[in-house]
Amino acid sequence: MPTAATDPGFIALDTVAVRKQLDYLLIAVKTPGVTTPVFERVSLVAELGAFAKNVQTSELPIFVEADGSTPTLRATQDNGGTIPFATASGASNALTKKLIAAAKNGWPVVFKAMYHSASVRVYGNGTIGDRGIQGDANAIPTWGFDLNVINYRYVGTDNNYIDDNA
Amino acid sequence: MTKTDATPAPVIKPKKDKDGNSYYSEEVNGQHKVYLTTKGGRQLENTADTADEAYQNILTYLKA
Repeated sequence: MPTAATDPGFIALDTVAVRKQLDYLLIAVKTPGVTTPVFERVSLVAELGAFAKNVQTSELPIFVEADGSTPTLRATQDNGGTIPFATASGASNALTKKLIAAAKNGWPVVFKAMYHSASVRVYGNGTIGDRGIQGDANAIPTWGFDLNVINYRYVGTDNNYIDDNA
Repeated sequence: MTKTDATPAPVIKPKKDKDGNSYYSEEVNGQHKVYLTTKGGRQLENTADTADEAYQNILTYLKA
């Protein structure tokens, strides 16, 4: 039986994703003569890739206790993660040159990934992986990189560490 | 629906240097943060003990 249509009503504001500012990435490469890291914003060709965590869980099942119970030992290992990003393929861009050099020489970088869409920032250290020029013959070429995270902290929009909160 | 009073963010007027870079500084937790946009559109930021040190760090980085 058909249902009569009604006008759509407003839904509660907190269920609507409001995008006021795009996610972006700041990277600092160690530079001689500079006392603290100088962060430069990366020109992204697409939305910043998500912080893909690399978490592994090991388990040792059937651990027999003296009382006859058989608990399973578990350990969760946090192996950092990866943030993929792509920039326009102009190798004349100063930051792109620095990123390519950092990837080739294994220089460590400092980063701040600003995920405004999730109201969270990820601050940490990492290395750069050069994924080369992306796209086939008909595509506009872009230069792909991986930011391989060594260590990180989650920071809230109030500039406090999130993981300090209980 | 409840209405929340929002405090408008203070308007910061960036300064210009002789190279055409526009920059401004702010104090965060006793540290000075300088945000600089070059004439070509590169966006940089640095945090140091003084605003002048942070500004000089960015200039050194740009020349490197």
